[in-house]
Amino acid sequence: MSTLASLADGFAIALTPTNLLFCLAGTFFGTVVGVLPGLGPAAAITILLPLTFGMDPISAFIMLGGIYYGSQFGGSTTAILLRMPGESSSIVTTFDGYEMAKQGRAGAALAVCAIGSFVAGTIGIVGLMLVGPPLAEFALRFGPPEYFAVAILGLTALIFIEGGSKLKALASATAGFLLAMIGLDPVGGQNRFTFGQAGLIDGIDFLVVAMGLFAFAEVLISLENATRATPMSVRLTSIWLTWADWLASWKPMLRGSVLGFALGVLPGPGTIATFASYATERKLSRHPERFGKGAIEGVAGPESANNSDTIARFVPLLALGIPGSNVTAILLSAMILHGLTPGPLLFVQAPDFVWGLIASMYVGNVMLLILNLPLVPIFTAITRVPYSLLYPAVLVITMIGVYTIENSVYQVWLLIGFGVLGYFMRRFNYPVAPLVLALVLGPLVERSLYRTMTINHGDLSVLFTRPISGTLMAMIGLLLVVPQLYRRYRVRRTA
Amino acid sequence: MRARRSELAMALLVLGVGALSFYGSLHHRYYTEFGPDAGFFPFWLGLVQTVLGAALVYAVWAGRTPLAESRPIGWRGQVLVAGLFVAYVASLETVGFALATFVFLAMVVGWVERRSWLEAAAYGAGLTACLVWLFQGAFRLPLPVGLLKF
Repeated sequence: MSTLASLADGFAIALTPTNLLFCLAGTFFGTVVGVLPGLGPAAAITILLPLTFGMDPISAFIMLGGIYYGSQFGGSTTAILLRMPGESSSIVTTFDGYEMAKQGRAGAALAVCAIGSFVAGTIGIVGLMLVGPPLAEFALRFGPPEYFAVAILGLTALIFIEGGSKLKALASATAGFLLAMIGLDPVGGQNRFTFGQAGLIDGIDFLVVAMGLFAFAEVLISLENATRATPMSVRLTSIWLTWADWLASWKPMLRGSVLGFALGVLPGPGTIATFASYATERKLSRHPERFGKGAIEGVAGPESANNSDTIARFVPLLALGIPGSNVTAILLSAMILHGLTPGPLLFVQAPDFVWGLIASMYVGNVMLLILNLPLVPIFTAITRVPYSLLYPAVLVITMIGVYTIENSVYQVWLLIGFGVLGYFMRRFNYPVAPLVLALVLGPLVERSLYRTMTINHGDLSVLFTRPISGTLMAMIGLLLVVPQLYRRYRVRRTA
Repeated sequence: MRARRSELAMALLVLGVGALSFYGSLHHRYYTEFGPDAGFFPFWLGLVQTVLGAALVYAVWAGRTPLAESRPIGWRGQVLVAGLFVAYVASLETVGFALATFVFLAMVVGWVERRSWLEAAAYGAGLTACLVWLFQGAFRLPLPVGLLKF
């Protein structure tokens, strides 16, 4: 009952004309960002963040949240029409979505994406509503050892669930922690790693790093392969589903939504949920041979998984103050900049913010459904904007965003440095997400570790003997061991 | 060979950052009678990064890691754009936001993207005017002002 009352209060906030306008702006801009290859939600949110400093935090987050889930909605459009995923989470949609488009069924593919995303978004929001508050209440029992363990668990999951070199991912995470050490230390207030630079005494601003690694590096990477494809022409009247399409896709939508939510609560890339949903649908299908040749289930499941995964990422962010991805790390940082304290107390100290944001997701979800189907021709037209005119504007807007943090060109020099670093990291397959997450979690991890050691006279065994932190540490151990065992098992089986 | 050299340079960078951080942490007190001090966490992080860097160097050297695809850096693309951006940032506080932005945008579109100079100038002027109006006018954000006072 109290959840419903809180949700009603949230709707009263989300439905004010100002917040409706920000929600509309966020979802629309998010869809455009999703449609445009070379501009992801992480870059878009970091670029726009300085503009929100003068805004009310609720309005700001309604808009930023809208950009996040709107971008997932928009990413599928280019995946279907151009075989060019706007976001990495839309890669799976190209498998069957583009095939459907080639068979003249682009409208059905776009419609199933929009409807699946709506269904998944709604299920995700209900899940967030049901899981978030009890988790926050549970987290009120957390002390420094638990916070240390939960932060390390998040980071370990991100490193070990994601594919690629674990060594490189670990090096990236450690670099993030080291960057977080720059400036005054949180215990004694000593200057660390400032090299005599006054601009580094307050540490490196997270936004500068994020804009460098995402926006600036993204431009440099995109300049390597700025190829354009010709969009297909889609007639507005054809964007709907037949009865057979409905029958084939309702179950994958529901399964994808639940799977996406379950995986989204855990840290890791959003692509896992979409690939897992695709694999599930293929396995459950009576005609798995149709997958990759235009099976609507291959679009309905992953698109639903993608959207509920996005909403589920707000669960650890709001309830624990622990981000599980690039974008939620940026949102966490944005909350701090707006004077909010992310974590379990957020539900107690700022219920209007939390419930206003959750209610706005319902509203944004409806807006996306109403807007996206009729506006598909406009969104496809946006993809025709030459990249040669887009990236100079992105660079200048990024510069403005960084400059306005402290009205200092020094920050812009740092931006260039991190942009170049991000470019080389991506060229040599060093994942950027662990660095970003470690940079955000660095102060929390250091403070928690210091407090744990200080309270227990330097004894770290408390991390393993307290029930909650012990369980979390055991989960870290499992994350480290299980994938290795599974790999060995597979090797033995194939041999 | 080229891919291996580049990958090795990146691994050496990780190793160097680790070693430097480890060395830097030694300038801070490690522990006090109450608990860890400013040097504690950086000490371990520096050590871990050094070990990881050494492992990466070994993995590349021994051919135990898949090498990233070797692609030459596009001089006309990345280097020129990055160079123009550096020049743009360096000139911001001298010539001011409006003029520096106009020149940067026109140079990128006209020189790097090889569009007509008229088109480049129109793009530069139009976008600069929009950005000044939006950020300085509507959002009241202070932008760099140069000797020309705009």
